[in-house]
Amino acid sequence: MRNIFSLDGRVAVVTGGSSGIGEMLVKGLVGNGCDRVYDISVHEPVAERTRVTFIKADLLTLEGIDEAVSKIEETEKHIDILVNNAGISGGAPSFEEFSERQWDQVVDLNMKTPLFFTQRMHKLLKKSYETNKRLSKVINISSINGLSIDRDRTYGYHASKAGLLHMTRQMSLDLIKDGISMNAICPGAFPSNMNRQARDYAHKTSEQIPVGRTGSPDDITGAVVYLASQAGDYVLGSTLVVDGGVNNIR
Amino acid sequence: MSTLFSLDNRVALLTCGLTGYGWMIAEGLAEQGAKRVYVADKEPCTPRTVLDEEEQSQLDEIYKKIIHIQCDITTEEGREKLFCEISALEPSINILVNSSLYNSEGWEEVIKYNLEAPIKITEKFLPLLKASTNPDEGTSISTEQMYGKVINISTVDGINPPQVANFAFSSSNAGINHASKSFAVQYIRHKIVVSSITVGLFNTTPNEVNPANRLQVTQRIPAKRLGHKDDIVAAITYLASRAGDYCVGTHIVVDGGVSEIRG
Repeated sequence: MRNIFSLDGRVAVVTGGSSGIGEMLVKGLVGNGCDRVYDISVHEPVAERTRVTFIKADLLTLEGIDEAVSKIEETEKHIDILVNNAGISGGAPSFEEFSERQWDQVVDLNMKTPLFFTQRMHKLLKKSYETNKRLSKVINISSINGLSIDRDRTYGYHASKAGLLHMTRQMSLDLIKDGISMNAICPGAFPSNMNRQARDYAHKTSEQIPVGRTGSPDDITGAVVYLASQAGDYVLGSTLVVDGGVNNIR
Repeated sequence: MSTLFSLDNRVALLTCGLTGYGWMIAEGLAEQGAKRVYVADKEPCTPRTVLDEEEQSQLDEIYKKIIHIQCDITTEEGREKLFCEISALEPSINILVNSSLYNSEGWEEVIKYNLEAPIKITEKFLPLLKASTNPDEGTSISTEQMYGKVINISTVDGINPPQVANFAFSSSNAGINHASKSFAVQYIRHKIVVSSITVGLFNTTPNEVNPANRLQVTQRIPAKRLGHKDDIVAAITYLASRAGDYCVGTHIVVDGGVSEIRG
């Protein structure tokens, strides 16, 4: 049987791939055929991983981004898949207490970093299309908080995740001219350091989710592999929601 | 290889308002591993023939898995006939794809095909879909939770109003997307995941582009090509397989970016 979901021979780059959803999808990309995956992260990975290269980088600064891309360029001539996954959240107990620093860091990493990281990776992604005559793929990991509002006072997080979706739509129209297809995924509650509620109180969190459970590594892998493989070639600038139905009941 | 996207052992039902289009999806699902695919359509369709002998024998194998059920899905009698015929053959249905897209000038007929039929069929097949979620009753695929899947297909006319005045068609397309979300919330308690797919301009029905305009139309699509069989089959396979188990009420747009541009 012809496998339209295969990632055989692909080389991928994932930002923030050492923990949480990033860690799940690094494993998923390798498990679905990727030759090599680069994890660009500020945190060291906890476990040893085959076919994964870790590059330590501070993605909050353009220097950090440039440094990471230069390191990739030392070993790779082109990149087939980029997943802009690195992100942070930060809330305040009340509206009055929300600080400028919380806004700046969160909005920078969640919105500015995907833009400039993709810009610096543009040459490598374009080269992949020219060499292989198949679309290279960029996937931005947003959040259902970019579509609807939860009760946390994470103004920067909600705004930046919504902004990322809109930026995805605009960038996709430019990038497709160079054979690069960009889309976004909005995950719901996946257990991670960032979503401690889903990690530490899975049972309680699951009660709020129509499907009755938190997200699994297979759930996020399914979405990323669908978009990254030939299967997702005609999906462009789109938002794929993977949330067990939460967004429909808010 | 990962089995995340496999449709092995699944039984699927496709409803179809346009002869040809449903068969294309059926062929794709059978290729992706589905055990049997039922196509509900008014008229029978001749299976595809190709020049290559080897390819033809593979195709013949695929078509052995596809079963046509002649019925009119716009009437209660037709839907009852469909249900009776299938429940006589199958203890359960894993995947229901409502792809009855019909375009004409008459309001009532279009609404019947594109909105009423998918909703009524989804309700009617609830028992068979439910049966697929229990490995003891249905086809035992694995010991882990099996979800039944309902996937509703619409076109980009349901997202952006088209230049032509096809009020019934575009409204019914928008309507089915919204109905999918309501069904998603209601049916998940039965372990049935409902989602939807919007397709753009394809080299085949339902949104077949007139060959004379093809170049002009293609230039306006950001992806610079029309959609083809693999694009729609891949989206359905993703949602219908284990990979799409968390996509409750998810809406996928498969249009090469055409709904992202203005005008």
